[in-house]
Amino acid sequence: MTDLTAWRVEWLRLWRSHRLLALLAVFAFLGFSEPLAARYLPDLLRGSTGSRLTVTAVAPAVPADGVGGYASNSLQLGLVVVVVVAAFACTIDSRPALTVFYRTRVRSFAALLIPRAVVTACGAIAAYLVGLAAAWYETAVLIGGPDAGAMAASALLGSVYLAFAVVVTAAAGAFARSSLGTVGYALVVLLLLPLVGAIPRLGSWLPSALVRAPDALVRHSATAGHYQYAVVSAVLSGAVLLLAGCRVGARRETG
Amino acid sequence: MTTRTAAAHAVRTHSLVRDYGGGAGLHGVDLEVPKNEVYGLIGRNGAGKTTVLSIIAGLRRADAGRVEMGVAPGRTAFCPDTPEFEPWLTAAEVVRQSLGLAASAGRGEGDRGRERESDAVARRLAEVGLTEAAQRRTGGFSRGMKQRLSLAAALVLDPELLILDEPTSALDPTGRADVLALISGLEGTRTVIFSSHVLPDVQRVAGSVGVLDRGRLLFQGTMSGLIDAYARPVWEVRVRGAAGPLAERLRTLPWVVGADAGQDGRLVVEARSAEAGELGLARELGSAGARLVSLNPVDADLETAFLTLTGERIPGGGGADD
Repeated sequence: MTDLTAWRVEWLRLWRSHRLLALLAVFAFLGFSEPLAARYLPDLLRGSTGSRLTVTAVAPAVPADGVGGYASNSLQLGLVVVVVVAAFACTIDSRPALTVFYRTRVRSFAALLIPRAVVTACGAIAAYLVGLAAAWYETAVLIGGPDAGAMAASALLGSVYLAFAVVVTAAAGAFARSSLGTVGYALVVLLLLPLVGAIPRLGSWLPSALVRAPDALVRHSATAGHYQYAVVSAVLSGAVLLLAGCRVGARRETG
Repeated sequence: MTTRTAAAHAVRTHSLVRDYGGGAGLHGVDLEVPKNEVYGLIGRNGAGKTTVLSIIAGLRRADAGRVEMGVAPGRTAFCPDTPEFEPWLTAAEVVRQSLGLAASAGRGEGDRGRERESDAVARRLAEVGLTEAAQRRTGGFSRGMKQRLSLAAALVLDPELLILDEPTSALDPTGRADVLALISGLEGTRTVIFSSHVLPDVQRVAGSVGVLDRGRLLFQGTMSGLIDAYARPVWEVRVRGAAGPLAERLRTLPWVVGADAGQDGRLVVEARSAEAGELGLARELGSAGARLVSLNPVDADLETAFLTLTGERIPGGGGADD
């Protein structure tokens, strides 16, 4: 019989509560549907309008359309699902009696929060990569093979952004008393960041710059080097947020 | 503030204050919980029991005062009145999770230090009567089953101090008897603080007792001391023949508050004090030439003492304030 450590419990949470399945389903759906939409968009438009003039305005699909579409939607629509899943895992004080069980057995709040954040982030990244692989495969079959180097960079930067989003949610979970409250706080932060990023020179320093990175990479309108500051700021601000969440959570009363 | 002490007490609180406003909370509570005894904490709803227990367990902070712990750090386990667990874990997994969390925090190995983990888990589940439900997920558990599981998950940590907040409130009569026997068996090896509304349960297992009312400790001492001091000195006497003449005779005595005759030679006598009744009743029965069938104290229980102490009306029966 193996130890039931906090890490294993978090894996069981992801698996037995079907949250991993939900993440995989959403990202896989996006991965399969976006290249399909990109490939058949002209046909769809022709069918819906019956006008040849409209169709001529739509450029023929290129591999970047299939993968780029997935990359954009997965880091927007998929992100919402990731935030919800992370919020329900990381809002430790949402069920007071359960919190008592946990808090009376560990010395630090970090021992509760960090495994939840890390395991959820791993689940989210795994789902994102599965969706990306699906998009890659279907794009290659329907439109043509995308650039492998750009795909690898997209995988890396998209993963960094999703991990950052999970950490933001985990930190919000330490402040909120309910899972829905956590979802609200996290989405406000994640949606406000791109607005702040509209300020000249600041945008490339914010983690939100990573949202556009996969699409830009597969279209070769940017290289991975363009996003080095965003990666650094995502890692640093993520660490600071996690530390703040642990401190706030440790000070909170329960029972 | 919580400090450690090497005294004979597992827990001592000094002028503990927690003000929730409007009179609610704690207002200078000095609890003294003797080591390796079962300590009963009783009081009405809102008396402050859960607040005291939460502060001792480190879940809440006091506005003023301090807690002195006579047990090693990390050797305290707390069972809330309505425990919850991850619904997708089985009962055995919850107990293993309890061990795993405590071990990761460097809180010692609990039962695992003495036996294999699987044995420890199985033994604790058996003790609380959950062997058959060991592989069932807790999402379908009743509140009573969760209370038993909470106790198993606490005991597997081999705690020096076990804090139980209303541990029998959701149990059926059999379950209650089992759990009370289990708690009673801990006396001598562990300290247990046992809070309950079910006063007969407390009377059955606790050697010491504290009575909280509106955030103040009204009484603290041994169970027998509380009953002796606050239970009404009433006896039910049964004599051969009619009890009416005997009741009339007793009512003339200065130490007798009341004497009411009933059917079948029954008679209820209330004395001004326990001592006066104990000395005078047997003497008077003898001098009256009554043929005594039985003589039993009435209301000499925790419930009566509690109601007397807190100034409550003594009801016909039932708990003090559920």
